[in-house]
Amino acid sequence: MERETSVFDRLRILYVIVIIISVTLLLRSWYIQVIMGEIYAQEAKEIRTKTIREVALRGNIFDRNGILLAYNRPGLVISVDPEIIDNNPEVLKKLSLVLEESYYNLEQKISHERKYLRGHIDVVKDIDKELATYIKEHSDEFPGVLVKKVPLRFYPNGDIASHLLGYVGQITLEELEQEKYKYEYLPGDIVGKSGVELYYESFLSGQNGSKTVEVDPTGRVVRELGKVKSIPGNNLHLTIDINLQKKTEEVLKKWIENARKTQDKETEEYYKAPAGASVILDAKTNQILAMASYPNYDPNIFIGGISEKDWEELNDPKNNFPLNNRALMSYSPGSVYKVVTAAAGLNENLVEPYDENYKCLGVWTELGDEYEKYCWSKWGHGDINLLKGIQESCNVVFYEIGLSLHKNSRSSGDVFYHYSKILGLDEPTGVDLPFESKGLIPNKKWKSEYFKENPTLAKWYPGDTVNLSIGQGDILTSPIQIARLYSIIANKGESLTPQICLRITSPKEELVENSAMIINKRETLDQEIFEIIEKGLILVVKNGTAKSAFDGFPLDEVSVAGKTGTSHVLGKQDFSWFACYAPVEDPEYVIVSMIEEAGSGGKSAAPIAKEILEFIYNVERSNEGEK
Amino acid sequence: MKEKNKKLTKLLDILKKFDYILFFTTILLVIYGAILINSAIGLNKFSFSFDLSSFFNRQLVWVGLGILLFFLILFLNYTWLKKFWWAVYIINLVGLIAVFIVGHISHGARSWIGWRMLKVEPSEFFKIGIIITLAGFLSRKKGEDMNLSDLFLSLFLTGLPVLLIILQPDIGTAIIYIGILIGILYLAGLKKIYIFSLFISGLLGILIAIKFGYVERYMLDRLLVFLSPNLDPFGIGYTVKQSLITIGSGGLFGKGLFKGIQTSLHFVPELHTDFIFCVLGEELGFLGVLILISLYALLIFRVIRVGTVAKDKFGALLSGGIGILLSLHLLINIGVTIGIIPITGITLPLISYGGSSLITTFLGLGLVEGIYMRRFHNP
Repeated sequence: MERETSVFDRLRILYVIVIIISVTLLLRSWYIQVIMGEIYAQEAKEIRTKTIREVALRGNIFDRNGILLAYNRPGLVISVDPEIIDNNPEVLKKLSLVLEESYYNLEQKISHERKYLRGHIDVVKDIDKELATYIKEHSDEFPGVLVKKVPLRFYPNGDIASHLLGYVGQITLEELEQEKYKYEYLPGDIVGKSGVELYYESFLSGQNGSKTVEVDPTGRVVRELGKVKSIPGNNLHLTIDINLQKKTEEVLKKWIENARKTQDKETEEYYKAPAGASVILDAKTNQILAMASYPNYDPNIFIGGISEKDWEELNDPKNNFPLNNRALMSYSPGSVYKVVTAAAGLNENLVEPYDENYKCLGVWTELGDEYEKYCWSKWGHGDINLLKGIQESCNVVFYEIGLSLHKNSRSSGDVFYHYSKILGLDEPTGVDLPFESKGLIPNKKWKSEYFKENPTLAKWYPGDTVNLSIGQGDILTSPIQIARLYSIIANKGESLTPQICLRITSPKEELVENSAMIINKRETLDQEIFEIIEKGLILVVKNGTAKSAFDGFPLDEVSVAGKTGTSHVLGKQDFSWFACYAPVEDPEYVIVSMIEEAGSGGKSAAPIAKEILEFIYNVERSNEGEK
Repeated sequence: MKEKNKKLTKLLDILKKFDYILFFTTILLVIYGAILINSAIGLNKFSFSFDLSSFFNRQLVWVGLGILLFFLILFLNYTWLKKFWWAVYIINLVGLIAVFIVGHISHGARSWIGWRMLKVEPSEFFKIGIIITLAGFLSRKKGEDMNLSDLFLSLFLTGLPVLLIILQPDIGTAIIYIGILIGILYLAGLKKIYIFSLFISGLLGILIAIKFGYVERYMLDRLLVFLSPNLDPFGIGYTVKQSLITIGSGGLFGKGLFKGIQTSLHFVPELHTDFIFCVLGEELGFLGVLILISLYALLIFRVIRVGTVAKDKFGALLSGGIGILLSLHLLINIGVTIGIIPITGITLPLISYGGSSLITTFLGLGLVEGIYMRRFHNP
């Protein structure tokens, strides 16, 4: 035996070491599996399951005759995670090569959008299948790049009715904090940004669903665990008639272009006519049949995220801000407002409509020689009554009424405010469109607040009332407000809220909501007053300031009551207005047209209404041949 | 001492002295391992065929070969190896060098030689080789007097293959070699002060290697992740984190055999080899772990016991070396999966899939069994 060494004793140490190793491993396993087991089991579940959002299909939009104005079509969008792109700048270069988009554009877009968005940013819309497949197959070369299959909003009529329809886009951070989006929306969701897309967002968007799936470590879906089905959005039927809308936009554009070729007689400058609007209401229901705003835009450029270049163009002052809906913006109304003065005067019994109580010499100095005021006609209108005053839009007649109102009224600074309010001004009409301006009817209170710093200006002067009487001064009204004003006259006092939504239907076209006519129960004036004003309005078209515009129009078949307006805006050329309704006996349509910096309302704005009426009543345009 | 008998009676005599516990513990462990491999590769049913594209079938074939080898080696009188340890060493070294000339690359390391199914990992076999070498070399002399030249020669003998293995690079295996070296030196009676200075100089060597950039970036990353497991859970820390989740989610009783969801979805890589413990942890829970570690500890105990009853120093060192080899594998392999040791690619012998590892282990255990059976015999 060679057992003289103590190697055999030392071997026993190994027993101890093995016990230490075993116990260590067991204790640690006990800790992981038994003490921490629940936590790890939970983590395992979380790591395996993923919730995929199922975006609800947005509802379609139709015109009143069921013609499709907005729908969804499946499309592929390239979306990138800006943070991953930051760490891998070469990805963007590769992407720009593959997509044939400029690197600069992509970069600009991302840096712009990330200020407002969280998560993935849509950079390229609507790519074709092969490209999408290529990027998916080479996903390891494009970290942070996602090809999303999404329903893309599409507007088949292009720029027609763009302001009414609005457009959609990815929800911004700011929007996400708003109460109405806070709970249901997530970054990356698509929301309406303007027009009915915005106003009826809650109806159109539907309810997003979700799918819980089990995934493997590469993120591949192994099986579905649960599903909450998405509910598609409701369809929206608008009150507009797309054919009338097209015609209206066409006519508006035509007369804006026409104005640009016309010189201002005094300054010999061409009219700038940068923008305009036109509104057509159904006189009986105040449904909007057409609403045009110029310049317009194509909402399709917003599909899958607008490019930086397009966005800049839309916001470049040179392009006169095509996103703005002029029909809802406030302007100085000028003479179209004179009907309010007439109504006030008649209601206060300060005007005798048929007696020629007024004398127009072209100049009016009732406020003192240093405050000379003029009629638009230098030579004056001579002896004149209210009706002729409306017909010729004689300023002197309305100065006189204004002054007497000022002297008569108990609260002289508020008389116009009072009557404007009755006739639906100084407040939004309540039309179901976003961003409606409320306008401004100045009164004593407003003036004292507005000119707080300057006590001289803060006072209410007779001149303020006189200015208001012809729709000048600080007063502001929107084309839609003026349309409603003339609809009140047409309906002899009944005030209706303009509407763009005809009805809402389910995806299966079952009725969800029919919009009822909204009648505003408010203080109104005697029917007689409106009848007197109407007589004046008929004369305007027949013999007055709109006579030449309606040259050749069969007024004996379709009688028209209207009023021109030419408002002076400080530092700008005159704004043209025309408001009318027809037929007078049983009003069907209210039409308002307005062009910025286009001179006389009779020359620039009234022809728009005439051409629209010709289109509506299918009048042969024989006069054109004669010319 | 007994009188010489006829060869047959001698053999029967030897068989009577067979350590059945050692053998059957080994068999239980390979069965346990085969079941886990079956689950790890998602086969989830036991049926054997000679379709060798399946890891399960292949493992069974290796087990068969391993058992055969185990018994064959019993006929070899181990004392013979004591004389020819240098030959064993040279054959193994040639194999290791061959790796660099005709080797295959697997998982970033050039560690395989061979053709098709018959690929072997020389560094696996060399584990037994280095144990034989060191045991043989250090038991040349009788008594306890280990001098410095013995120490340096041992260092040289181990250092050569370690260097080659680091070059592959396969740090895990290199660590095993170093562990075996230290363990056998201790068993052979090297003074503790030497072992301590060996340890210190080793640490210094590692620090210098890091300092001068001889350590690859990924190795440092692994160490970093080990020190702070929540670091970067989707990058380098991913495997550790997933491994912990997989094992931890098994709980006390596990999710049931073949019912491991994390396992079936392969959240942890290399499930059938280095991370086989994850399958066990998830599907059979802490109880399964307890059974495995108990069996393993029992096996190592038996191996050490053989050493204590061996008739000579060589047999004692040989058994001790194999005991150390198994202990190191147990500690490092499971330690990695439960996050107490930085990630190193080490198999769990008898459990993990792999022919070289399995054959090597059976070889080693066969040697140990042979030592046991010859404990009262003279050569």
